[in-house]
Amino acid sequence: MSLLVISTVIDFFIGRFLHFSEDQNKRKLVLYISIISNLGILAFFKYFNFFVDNLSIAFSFLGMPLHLASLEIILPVGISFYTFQTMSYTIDVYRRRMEPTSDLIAFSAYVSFFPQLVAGPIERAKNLLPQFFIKRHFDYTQGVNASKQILWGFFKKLVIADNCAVLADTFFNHHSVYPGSALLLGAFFFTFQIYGDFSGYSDIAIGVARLFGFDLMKNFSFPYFSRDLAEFWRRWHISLSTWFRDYVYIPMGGNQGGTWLKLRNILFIFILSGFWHGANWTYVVWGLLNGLLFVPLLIFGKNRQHLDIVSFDKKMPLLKDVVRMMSTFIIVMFLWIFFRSKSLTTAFAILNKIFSSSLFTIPVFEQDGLAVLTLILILFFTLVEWSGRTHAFAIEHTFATSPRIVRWAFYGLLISMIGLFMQTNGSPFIYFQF
Amino acid sequence: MDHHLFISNSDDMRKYFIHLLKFLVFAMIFYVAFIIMSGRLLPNFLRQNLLYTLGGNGHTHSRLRDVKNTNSVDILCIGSSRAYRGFDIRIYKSAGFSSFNLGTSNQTPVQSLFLLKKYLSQLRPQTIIFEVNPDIFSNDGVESAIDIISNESPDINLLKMARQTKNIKVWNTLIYSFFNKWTGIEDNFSESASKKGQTYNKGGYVSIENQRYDRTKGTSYYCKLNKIQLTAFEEICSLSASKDIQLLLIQSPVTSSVYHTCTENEHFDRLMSQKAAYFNFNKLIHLTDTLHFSDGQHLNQLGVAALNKEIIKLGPFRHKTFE
Repeated sequence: MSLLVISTVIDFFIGRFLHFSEDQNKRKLVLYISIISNLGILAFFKYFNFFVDNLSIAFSFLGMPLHLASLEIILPVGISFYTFQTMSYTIDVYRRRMEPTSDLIAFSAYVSFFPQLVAGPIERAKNLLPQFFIKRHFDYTQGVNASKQILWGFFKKLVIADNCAVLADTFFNHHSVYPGSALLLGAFFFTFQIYGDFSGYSDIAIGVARLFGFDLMKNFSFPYFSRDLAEFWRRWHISLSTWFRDYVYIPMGGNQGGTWLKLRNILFIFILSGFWHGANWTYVVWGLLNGLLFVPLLIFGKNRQHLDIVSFDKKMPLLKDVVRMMSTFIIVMFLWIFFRSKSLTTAFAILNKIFSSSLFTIPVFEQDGLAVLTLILILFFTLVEWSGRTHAFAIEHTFATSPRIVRWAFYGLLISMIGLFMQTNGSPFIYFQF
Repeated sequence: MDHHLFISNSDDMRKYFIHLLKFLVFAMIFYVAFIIMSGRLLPNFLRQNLLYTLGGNGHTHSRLRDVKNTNSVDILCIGSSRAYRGFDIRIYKSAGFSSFNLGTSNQTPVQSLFLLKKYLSQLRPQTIIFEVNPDIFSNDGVESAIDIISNESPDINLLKMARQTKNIKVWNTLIYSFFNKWTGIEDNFSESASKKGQTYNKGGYVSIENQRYDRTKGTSYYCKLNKIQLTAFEEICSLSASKDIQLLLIQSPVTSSVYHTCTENEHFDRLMSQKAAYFNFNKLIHLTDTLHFSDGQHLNQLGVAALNKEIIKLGPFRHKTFE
């Protein structure tokens, strides 16, 4: 709480200074103070032990053992999110892209806005802050849409993510006893777990904010219907991707300059994005691998070939789109193995098993009933998402032209499925730890 | 500039809440229909939060039918499987006491309280033997609530008991059970007296056929005392005191390896001793794992005989005059 207050107060006053000062050197210095203080807090709470441990290992490797003590630090909830949110404010004011607010209460409300405080979307001050000054009227259609989005968010989290979590945990936590086929299944379930979990949270946050008359930015746009990795990254955790694009990638030169420069920039952004998720080499490698697979698309100018919605005016996808979506999904699924594994050793052990003859054995495990149920639920979920892929969220216009009783029956079905299929000892949202 | 943290009221908001209310009523009806249909049509593994267990573990169905035909006993036993498999009413009968064993699978104090409220005035016992242990006091009571709801006729107390568990599985089972009991679909259900090597004896006691010690079952205690269970326990103590019923708290023995997995033993002993006559038989009798137990937490018939012999010898028990 006190960290949140510190971040808020520092950036509020720095924002004021940056606006009124004309001295460019002082402005730059003050901006650095803001960035260093924000990143300093983040680095200490999130990355201190990681740096200490790795420094010790590195020096030991060089034959100079260091005895640095790691600290028992509790990671403050939502620190990665609100830190980036306040930083975007000071940077935008510095660039004179927005005027600072003179209202500390409104600014505090912007930084600590409860629906998205702990796990995003990472809002920009330009979008959210002015909304605190607008007199909001409750709009019926807006309220109904918000409620639908919240319901769909709960469905994603409680039915899809939490059931997948049980299965993914089983396989990942005991990977040594399972064959490659089971571990592949584990990766598949984790792929849906993380999507259901994170996009479910985003839907709930956006929906709750809409009930209060606030518009938050879209954070997910049906990423598993992407036809290549570039499209996937335009549709996954949009608020973070665009943050890195606007505040790191473009200032570094973006896709301007020579091939090596582009390559450097893109790899740096992906590694940084991985590192943002947590102080573990698994996240760094996950980011690096995403970057390496993205590079060919960038070099051959294919990174912006799928800007439209897949099979926009069709009920069924074209075969070539099915192949593209499936191959992108498989790539993303394999990359999630690094994200989910506790260490790189574990990730490589899992991959070794998947690419062994044990891939062709029938997996035997205790929760086979749950696995069948979850696969059925995933199929239902995917069909609903596919049918609603042209909208802000999947069920925004489901049965929109049907009589009210049909629409209500559909929402009733979702609630009933939550009641019948949710995990009663459900896990917390994954992104709360970031 | 003014900031507006609150949304102004409007007709739209009224319309929204009216529609929401109507939808919630519709959704509740839909939900009930969905649960009933799922219970009737879906296989068990496809309805993970509807665990209806008519005639499930521990012969609860037989016991709850049996108790309805029982009047006035000297001793009433309550508790988990360690009660219905540990307190042998046949031994009490041979000692001259009439008794009924109302233990059920994983029964926690919340369910014990429910059963006492329902049957105490009918059974009018002079002594209640309550099997207590830290494991069951740490339990959320969901499994036991589902077991009882599946096999008991619904009433307001059942609803109250379901509410205390705060678990969707319990509510779903309650809906489905209520429908089954109301429509009489399962009126002809009859539970086999012998199943899975366990035999139900009239009066509630369940004897087991396999007397061999199975090391793999019941190997640890979960010990984090649950506040809801402690509250229900207090209420049981008050209830028995208000009706002038002697309450004997018995911790029936488990294997030493299981017993020592709990770090709360001393705290639990102190807590129990403050409330009523309490006897921890893990400390009072010496039993051998392979000789007296069928698994880590349950006695075999030899162990049951040894335990009940000691219970009958207890001071408060011996000095009580039964009519």
